Amino acid sequence: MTNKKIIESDCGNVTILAGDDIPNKIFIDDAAKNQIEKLCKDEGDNSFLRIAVMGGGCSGFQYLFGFDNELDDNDIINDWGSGRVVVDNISMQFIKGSTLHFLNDFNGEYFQIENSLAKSQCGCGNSFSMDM
Amino acid sequence: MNIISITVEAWDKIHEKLEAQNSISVLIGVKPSGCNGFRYTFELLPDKPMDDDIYLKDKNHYVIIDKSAKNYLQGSELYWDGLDSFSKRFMFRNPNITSECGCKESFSINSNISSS
Repeated sequence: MTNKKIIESDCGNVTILAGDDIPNKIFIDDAAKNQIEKLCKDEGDNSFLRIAVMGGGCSGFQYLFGFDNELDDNDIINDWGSGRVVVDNISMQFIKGSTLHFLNDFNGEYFQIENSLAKSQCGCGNSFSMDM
Repeated sequence: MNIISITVEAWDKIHEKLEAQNSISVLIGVKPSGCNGFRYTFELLPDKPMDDDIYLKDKNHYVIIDKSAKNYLQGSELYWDGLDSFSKRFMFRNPNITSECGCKESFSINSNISSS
């Protein structure tokens, strides 16, 4: 049985196949927390990291990262005292249960979302597809 | 003339990363993969290049071009930059490619160019 869930958003209804059993939250590894604290401190103005999911990229959806300092009513906040990551409720339905990593290897230093809801993803992991 | 050029900022990052990994050289290659056909590979090596290798040197570090990637990389510039503050990586301005993935990690090569 699939748990179809319909969410109303500004751009129409979004149907998502993910189960209701996954809590509306993401996990953040220590390297990602450190990097978020550093970037947001440089950015100033009580900024936090906002992650959103939009249509686009070579695999159908893509993650957007940005700084923000204003919260909306439908935001879900992940706060660990020295840093915050905010995801709006619609985007959260595409990434809930994910882990946000910050990777630092030879060819790059970048955030990557390990998303168990994604069916496939682009080489760099920034674009992904889902069962709809 | 060198096969590729490397920006000052990219050399700084190469020095930083090779030192952190106790390596002397980085071998750059191209291999089939990704949504656009090819991707760049970076392999850290503990040794200096051989005399017949294709390489660039700055300070005590070397960038070696894999011979099979020579034609694909000819005329490219290696730089260190990001799509935004959240993603920084080595990238190439490569005149031989015909299209690339949004994140520039995967690309297609002009079909007139072969590895040998």
